[in-house]
Parts: sequence; C-alpha cells; structure tokens
Amino acid sequence: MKRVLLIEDEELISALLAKKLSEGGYDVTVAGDGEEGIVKAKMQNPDIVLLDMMLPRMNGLEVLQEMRDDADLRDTPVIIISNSGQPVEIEAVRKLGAKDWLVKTNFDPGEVLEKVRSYIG
Amino acid sequence: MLEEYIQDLWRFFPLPICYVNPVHRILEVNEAFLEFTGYTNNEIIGTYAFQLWKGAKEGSALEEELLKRDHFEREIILTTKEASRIPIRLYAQLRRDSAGEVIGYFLALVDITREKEFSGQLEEKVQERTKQLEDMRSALLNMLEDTEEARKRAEGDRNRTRAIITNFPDGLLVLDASQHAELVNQAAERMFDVKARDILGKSLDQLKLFSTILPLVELYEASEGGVSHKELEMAGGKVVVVSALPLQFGEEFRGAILALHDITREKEVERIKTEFVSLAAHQLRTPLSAIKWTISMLLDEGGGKNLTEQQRDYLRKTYRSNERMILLINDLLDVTRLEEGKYLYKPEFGQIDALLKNVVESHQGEAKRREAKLKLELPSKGPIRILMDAEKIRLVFQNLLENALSYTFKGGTITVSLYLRGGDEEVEVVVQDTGMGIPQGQQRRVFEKFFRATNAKKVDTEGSGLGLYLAKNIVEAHGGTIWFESQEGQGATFHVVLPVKKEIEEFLKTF
Repeated sequence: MKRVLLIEDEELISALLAKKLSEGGYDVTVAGDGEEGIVKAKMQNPDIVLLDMMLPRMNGLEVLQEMRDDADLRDTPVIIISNSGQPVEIEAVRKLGAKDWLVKTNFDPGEVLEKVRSYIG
Repeated sequence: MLEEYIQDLWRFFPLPICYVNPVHRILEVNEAFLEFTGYTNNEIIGTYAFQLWKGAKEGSALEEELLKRDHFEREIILTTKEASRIPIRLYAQLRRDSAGEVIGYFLALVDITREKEFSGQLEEKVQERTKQLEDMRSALLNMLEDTEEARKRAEGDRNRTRAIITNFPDGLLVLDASQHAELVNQAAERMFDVKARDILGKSLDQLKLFSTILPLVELYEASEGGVSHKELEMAGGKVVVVSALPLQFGEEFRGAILALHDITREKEVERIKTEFVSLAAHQLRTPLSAIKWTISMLLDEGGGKNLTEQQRDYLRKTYRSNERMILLINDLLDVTRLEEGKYLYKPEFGQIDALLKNVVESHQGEAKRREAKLKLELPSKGPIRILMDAEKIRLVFQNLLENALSYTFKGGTITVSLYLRGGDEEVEVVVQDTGMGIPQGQQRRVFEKFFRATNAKKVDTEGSGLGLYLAKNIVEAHGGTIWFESQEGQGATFHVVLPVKKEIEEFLKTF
C-alpha cells in the first residue's frame, strides 16, 4: 500500500482528505504542523507528500527546503495544497521541485485523490 | 514839374497813404486811401487822423509815440466808413524842416487781413494742436497712473502668486524660458532635500547632478514639451506623482512648471487596504474550502448514501452557494493582487490564436447548456504570436466569454473573431453577442470595480462585477485597449486590441 503523508494544520481538512485517500486505497499519515511533518517524513519515507503552505512552526516552503536537503526525501514527489495561490509562491516551490499546486477552494477531495493517483498510481 | 510828378505818383501809388500835420489832421490822401477807407476826399481831409482807428486803446499813446520817432510801424485795427474793422500795419514817416522841426508825417496803411487770417488759422491750428497735446498729455498721465496702478496690482498679484507657490503643498519647480531653475518652493526643497539657493539659476544639466532631481528632469526631457504624469520614488521613501507642464504662449516657450504631488499617504492607505483585503480573502478561503470539502464528501457516493433526497438537495444548494462565494473571493483576490502589484507579468511570445481556440472550446459545454451558438473566426494566416502573459490574457477572454454566455438568450450567437491590424503590429479580438446589451446610461461605468448593469443583475445574480475591471487592467498592462459597443436588447460587442510586441520593460514597470 502506497504511503501518503498529509501535512495540514486544519483538522477538518486533513480529516476529510485522509478519509478520502484511505477510501482510495492509500496509507495516510497526518501531521498538524511543519516540524511534525518533517519528523514523520523522515520516519516513514512516504511515497508522496501533500503539503500545506501556511503551517505553524515551520511553513510549507521550509518543510520543502528541508526535504530537498535530505538525501532520502530529495526525490519524494510533493503536491502543495494551499489556500493561497500567488504566482511568486508557486514559482518558489516549483524551483524546489514541487509537482503541483492545488488551491483548496478550487479542488474537491476527489480531485485531489485523482492527482495523487496520477503521480504515484 | 516836380510837383506834377509827385502828384501823379501820389495818385498812382496803390498803397493807401496820407499826409498828416503835426496836430494829426489829415492834409492829403491818395486814391488808394479813399478806396480803402470808404471816405470821400471832402470827408477825410481835415479830420483827426486817429479817428480812423478810434476805439483802438493805443490811439492816444500812438499819437505821442509817433512824434518822438522818425519811423514808426505798428499793427492796429482800422475802422472804415462802413464801420468794417480791418487789421492793418501802419507805417509812419516824420517830415522835418531844415531846422529839424516836425512839419508833419506820412502814414501808409498795409492791409494785413490775409496775413491775419492766415496767422489766425495758424493760431487756431496751434491752439487746436495744443489742445490735442494737452489731451494727449492728460491721457498719458492717466495712462501712467493706470500703469502705475496696474503695476501695483501686478506686483500684488505676483506677490500673491509667489506666496501661493511658496506655500503650496505640492512641490513646484519653475523653469524659465532658457530652461534654468527660476523658482522652487518649500515643498520641493523638502522633496529634493536641497536648498533653493543651491539650485536657483541652474540649467537642466546642472540640476541632473542632484540625484533627487535627476529622475524629474529626465521625465521632463522625455515629455518633449507635452504634459506628462508619472509616479516617482523620492528620497526618504516618499512617492510622488510628477507632472511636467510647459508654459506656452502661442508659439513662444516661456518656461515650464514641474509639479510634484506627494501621494505617499495615499499609497500607504492603498497598500494597507489591499493587504487587508488579501488577508481577509485568505482567511475566508480556509473555512470555505472546509465547507466545500465537507459537503463534497457528504455528497460523494460513499459518504452520502444514508441521506434523503431532500437532504442531498439542500446540500447541493449549499455547495453551489459556497462555490459562488469562492468565485467572488477569487475575483477579489485577483483584483487586490493586481492592485498591490503582485500580479506577476511574465510576458512571453505565445500564440493568441491557439489561446482563443482553447478558451472557446472550454466554453462550448456551457454554450450548449444555454442553447447558444459559440463560434470562433480565426484569420487564415497563423499561428499568430504576440508578447503576452498568457495566463492573464486567458483571464480576459474567459471573462468576456462568461459575460457573453451569461447575458445571451436561448438561440443566441456568440462570435469570437481575431484580426491582424495596423500592418500586423496589433491584433484585435472581437467578442460579439446577441444578448441583452448594456443600458445606455450605464455604459461608462462598465469597467468600474464592482459595477454591474441593472439588467445583468436581474438575470444573473452571481457576478462579482470584477471581471471587466480585471480585463481592462490586464489589457492596459499589456499596452492594449479595450472598449465596446452596445445597445440595450441588441447585444454587445467587445473589442480588445493588443500590441504584437510592446516594449517589455515599460509594462513590467507598471506592475
């Protein structure tokens, strides 16, 4: 079973998405802030990371940066799920190798599931 | 013999003459004398000579004076028998005997009427002229007085103007006709961070040596005599709008006014406003996405199977309302981002024909639902590449198409056409619909933020009123223009003209 790490501080959002992804056949782990996200990523080495940008303690960009500095996590695909969507931010995470940027209000959980499937099957 | 000769001569002489004895009785006159005075020989001989000029105040004085001198000449008035008064010059010549005693005198009369008339006219003329001169003089004096008054007034005006300029809250730098700094007010001194005495009288090139004045002078020089406005950042982070205004009197160049209007505060207020809206929008998106996802999950095959049909209907409606809210906030975010300059323009050469094709295709589904025809007309020549930020230009045509679809009735037609214009220097995209049109009275507000026409609001309650505002901003940022023609009830035609290649730097600076 493919492992998905969801780093998202909004509990309702993460609960809904976790449920959807689990139903879709993934092993989902949830982290509520950036630091926890990094710890869990190093522990579990997930197949894909869904990362929010505005997070307590460490923000999404910092998490992404740290993942890129870690040999084991360097090539792990990352999809950004955010409420923001400013071109400058998108540009910044693309440079750090993020696969996609999804604005939460523009996607349903089902569509997020499809995106995940398209990257890791 | 001699006596006869003298008698003949006496008679012949054309000048009126007479001979008078020492007690002033006329003894003898010639013909000319009789003719001149109108008397007969009998009437005149023996009369008192001075009765001829009686009334002349100098009569008796003349009498005495005459006998003191041998020669005598005087202008007097002669009274003829008919009482005409004739101006004459009276010549007198005393006769003395061998002992030197006066034995009488000759008088000769020369009519000087003509001479007098002439000199009278002359006098009149002189008087007239004198009067004219007098008039002129007083007129001149009046004028001088007026001029003095005007000068005082002008001075007052100038002082007032100076006071206004000096205390004017906007920075003002006045250049004289030779393009040297003539006047600088206090506000400008502060903005330039210079003292007036350091820059007065300086030429443009000298002014450029001041880093704070350099951009202003450059802008002025670039304006080439036209009026121009531009935002500039000044020392100390102040933001000003500078305007260059040449002072032209007919053909003559009299200098220029460079004005600096401080908009730092407005900028700050604007920034705070957009920051607030941006933050609010982000904060709103979080709960909206939570609602969206929750309802989405409830309606999903798995999650919603225990719901009644009515509950599902409520949820669908709630979902739609939420979507509307999301759209509104997305638009609001786009606008604020545009305003706070975060709307990143990445102009690259892209195919405008392909972009239009793509946008039209993605709206065919909606057109079908509305039972409207959606056509695209492209020029045979292609592909057509223009310098654009494709993402933003797409937004423009999405907005135009969404409007056209929303406000077109069943069976209507929407035509999107692309033309090359101005020797292939520009492209024009025309979006024409057969919809409800825009009411005449509201047309000038169409591109305003949040504006929605009354008839549009009735049909479609969802629009944010931001689409066309965004479109206009984007098109203008590309150096293009957008306009429309419309009659209520007969559709609307929107035109977008975009330059194929605009100076990139220029529009990058705008954002």
